[in-house]
Amino acid sequence: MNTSIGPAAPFNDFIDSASGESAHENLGEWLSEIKEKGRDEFYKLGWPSPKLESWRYTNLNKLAKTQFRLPQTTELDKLPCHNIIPIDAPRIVLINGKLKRELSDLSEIGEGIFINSFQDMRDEQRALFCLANHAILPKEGLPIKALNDAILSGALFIEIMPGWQSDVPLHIVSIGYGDHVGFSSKIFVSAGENSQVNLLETHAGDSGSTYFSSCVSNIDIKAGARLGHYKFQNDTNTSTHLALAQTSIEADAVYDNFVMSVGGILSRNEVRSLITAPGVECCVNGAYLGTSNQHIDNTTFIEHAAEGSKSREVFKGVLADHAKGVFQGKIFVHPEAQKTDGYQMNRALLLSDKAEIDSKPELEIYADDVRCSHGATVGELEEEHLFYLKARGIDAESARRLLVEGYLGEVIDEIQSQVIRETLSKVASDLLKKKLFERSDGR
Amino acid sequence: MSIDANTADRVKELEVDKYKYGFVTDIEMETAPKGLNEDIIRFISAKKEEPDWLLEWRLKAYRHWLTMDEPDWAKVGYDKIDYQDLHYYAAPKNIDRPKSLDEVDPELLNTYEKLGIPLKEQELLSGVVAVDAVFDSVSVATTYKAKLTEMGVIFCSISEAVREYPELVKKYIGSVVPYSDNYFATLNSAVFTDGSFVYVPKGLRCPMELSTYFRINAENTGQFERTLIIADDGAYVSYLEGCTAPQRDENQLHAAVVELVTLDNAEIKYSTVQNWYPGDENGKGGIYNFVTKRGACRGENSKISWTQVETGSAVTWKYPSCILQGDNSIGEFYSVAITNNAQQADTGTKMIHLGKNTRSTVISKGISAGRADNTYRGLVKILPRAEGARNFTQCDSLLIGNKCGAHTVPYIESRNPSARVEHEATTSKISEDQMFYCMQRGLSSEAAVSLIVNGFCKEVMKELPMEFAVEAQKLIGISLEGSVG
Amino acid sequence: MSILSIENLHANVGETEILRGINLKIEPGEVHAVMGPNGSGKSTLSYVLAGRDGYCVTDGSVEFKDIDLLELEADERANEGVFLAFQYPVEVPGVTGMTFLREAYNSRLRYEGKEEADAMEFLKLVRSKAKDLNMSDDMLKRPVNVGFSGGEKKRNEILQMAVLEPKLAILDETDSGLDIDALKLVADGVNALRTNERSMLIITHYQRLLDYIKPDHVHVLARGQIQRSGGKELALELEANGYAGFDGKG
Repeated sequence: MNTSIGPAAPFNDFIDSASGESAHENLGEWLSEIKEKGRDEFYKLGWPSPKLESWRYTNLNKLAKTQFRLPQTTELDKLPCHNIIPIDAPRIVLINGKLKRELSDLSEIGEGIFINSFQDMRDEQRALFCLANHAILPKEGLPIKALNDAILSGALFIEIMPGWQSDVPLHIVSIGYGDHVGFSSKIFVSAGENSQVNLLETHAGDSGSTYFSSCVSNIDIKAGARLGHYKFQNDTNTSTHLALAQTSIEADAVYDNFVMSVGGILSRNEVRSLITAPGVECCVNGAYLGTSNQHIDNTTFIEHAAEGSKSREVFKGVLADHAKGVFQGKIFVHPEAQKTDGYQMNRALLLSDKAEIDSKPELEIYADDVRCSHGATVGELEEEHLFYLKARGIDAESARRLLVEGYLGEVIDEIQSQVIRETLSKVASDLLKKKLFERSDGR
Repeated sequence: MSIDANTADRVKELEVDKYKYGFVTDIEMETAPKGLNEDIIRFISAKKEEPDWLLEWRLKAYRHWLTMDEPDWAKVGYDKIDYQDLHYYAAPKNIDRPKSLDEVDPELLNTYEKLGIPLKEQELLSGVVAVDAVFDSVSVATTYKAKLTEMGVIFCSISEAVREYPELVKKYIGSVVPYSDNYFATLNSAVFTDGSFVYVPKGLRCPMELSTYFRINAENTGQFERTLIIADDGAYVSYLEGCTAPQRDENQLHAAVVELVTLDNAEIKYSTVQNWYPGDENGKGGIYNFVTKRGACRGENSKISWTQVETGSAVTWKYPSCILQGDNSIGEFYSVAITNNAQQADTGTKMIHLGKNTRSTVISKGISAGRADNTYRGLVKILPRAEGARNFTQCDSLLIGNKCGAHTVPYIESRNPSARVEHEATTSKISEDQMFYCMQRGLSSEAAVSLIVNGFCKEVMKELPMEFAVEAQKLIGISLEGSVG
Repeated sequence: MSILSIENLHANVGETEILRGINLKIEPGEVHAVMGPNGSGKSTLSYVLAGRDGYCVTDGSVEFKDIDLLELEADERANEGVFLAFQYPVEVPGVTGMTFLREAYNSRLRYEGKEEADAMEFLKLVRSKAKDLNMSDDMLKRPVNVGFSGGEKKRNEILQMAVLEPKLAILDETDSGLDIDALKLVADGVNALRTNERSMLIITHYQRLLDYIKPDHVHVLARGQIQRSGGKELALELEANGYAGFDGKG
């Protein structure tokens, strides 16, 4: 469709080698088929270029020109704990996309959740790979999905039994490790009727590693269920992360999504939620902090295909140095989705004159009895606020930090799970200190 | 007379037929053969007795156009246009250059009379509006010329300006919308036929509203007018533009270009009431309105303000924009776009902030009824030098019925931390409560819709010059007829 | 001839029957109060009379003067002279009160086949009406009911009533949300509009409004029917004893 970068691009060599990788772990031919199909689809779509509407602000040229290779090892003695969310919870660890049982700990998980991987998946789980998605596809297709398929390294199947309710979150930790390695993983989640669970993802790297990672989640939330889905994207500052979460939500279910993006040279978190029945509450929120020359893209699509549901979307970003932030949000309301209540807000704070924000909050509405609104603001810290704090004796540096913390705090408060809200709040506060306010350049 | 005071008149007007401008004037025409090629462009240029540089510019545009693809990113769908099946020049015979109004064909004067635009000076609204009347490819009359010339204001057709003021035209044409700008603007650059030219000299506040009235009459003819307005240092002008076309079953193409330039401390206020034939209830016929309008605030403290009421056309594709180059310059965009039946509109603005402390305001009101689609598409771009820039955007959509669509697509790009950009948008419908309340007080359902919609649009309507506000209010009522069951 | 004659009126909202056989006659100049507990059908009665969509008459008849009111659309009823003062007056953004009221006034004139009033004429009329009611016409310069206090909204309703001069005014819980001063002001306005010709139907939960607007007849509405009718003293009795005897629960 659009190939400003020919198939000769170095990254394509990697795709060819990954998709052609012979069947491993005794999985048979079907995995090779998925990879080949993904590769063909990706080549058909071509590398997304800024000429495509949904990739207008994120350019993958540099990525396409970088050579990656298949990870040689998944051996890692211990987790880079300082890079992952400090939470005491059952965890599954993926190293370079592959499940690592030695580092995982599921002893406290409880009997209502079943987790499988490539090695022990069942036939019907295998069939999930072929499921057609009925949601609206962007004109440009979903290149992240195709790419993810083409180089697929591992998959997780998380099945939450109907009625299972747990306060203990499940932490999925994905670690990139190596020099110019590329990998991808898939996470399938099925939240049974009236279940209640919180999932937490950390995407990070071992110090000094440079990698390309891709993660695609397919999430199915059954009637009356409540799924919290929280993500901390903290990849190493030379790495690239492309993620896509596709969710289908049934009647009276609640989906609470939050992405905190702080890592990687380039990251894109795409969240696509389909509301299929009435009574749904769908929250897609996020915070991002960009420094140095990071590029952080949050793209969301919330599709109301049934009446009487509610969606809420709040994103806030802080951009310093040469960082660039992208927010693209769209609420789509089908003609039958009467009484939809949609809200979308994007705010960005620019802390440097080299920082940049591109924001596109979009509404596409075909039902007349709806309440949809959106807003966006871009600016810097209010002089007036700074002065007020200073007038109370707070030094300029601390005043700025407090204000920025408060600014991000507002969106972290959107997180419905208290434990995770508090944890991420602490994480954000520490990060601000580390990345913005206690640096050697004395900013 | 305030806007409010006229609502009763408007309601009366609701009784009038749906598109009262749909008649055809029977007049002898001179038409270029169908099709587009370099010979046709040479023919147009020769017809207008143009200098070589302009012909060359047209040909350059045409050659560039051949390399371009028709844009498809807007949220509109229409049958492919056969650019070889159009006439690119149509003019009433023997009116090439009437010296005064007395020489204009009475049939033409009659046409404008019927459109409510009398071209006799004494009948014009107490001498406050000067009119340039464009009929298909040519300007047929310009009123109050003598009076304006006396003050140093140049107001004439662009063809005349090319002949009389070639230096000015050469300096500014294509300087805001370059010939290579976009598919339709490039086509226009190659084949534009007429349009208005305004130059307001230094320090003058033009005391009259200047107005152009565009009329498409001929069949299978594209209208490609080009308007160029320059306000020199400290000058001010308010310019009005109105458009109508006969009711025809075929779609007709209108691809205009408007360029505005304000120098230091100058201001241009540009108002449009667009009422091209929208096609019938089933979407048959109607005008394709693909227009490029852009203003450059070149000077410090200068200001450009666009106000538009878009009720007509089958398809509208239009983004009047401001390039805010001068420090402290101001751009404004006020828009009401109404789509009913099968109409489609994709309209909005671009505010490009280059200079320091530049400010822009965007107020857009989209009303969608029937099976229509209405899209606001707008760009606010803050460049690194635009220290202290401010933008406020508000777009509200109103849906009437559940077969139509309302869409908001704002693009916000900021590269300066001291800039402040705010965007707000809402979507709503006319509530049953409001309808019942109005009807309980005796208003018919159509009058209630018209009243509520006019209230919804008020922030925009108040920006229109008085003469236009009255007409625009009536139009809102008429274009929504039949939208409530 | 009665102004209003309601016979055996049954009405549904959705599937639920709310009015279950109402009978009521109002003569010219009479003021009737309909009192009742929450959920008795008071507001439904006012909406059915004004012709609101979604209120479905399943049986019975309503004659207004000598016409079948139920045959008419809401705006036609208004133009015939039925005025409903809303319990919750609706906000109409961007439309000033003056525009709104002139539109309504001229609709009536057109309905009656008369010449419309021009802007000046109408302004004079509104000013004199406002003066009669000791009100300022300032609020008509603002968009209808937008940002009005509860008292302002209700006074605005009364001013509209004064200008539109209805034959039958239905006041739906006009006292709700008003403090005692605002209530007095509104009641004074209503009293000023009482004439030998104009009838009123006052719908209220509390007796206190009737201290200020003295009714000729009082009816108790409960369970969708008029349970008892009487004079002013009935209101006082209700004040003392409550609706306990009527709501079917007591």
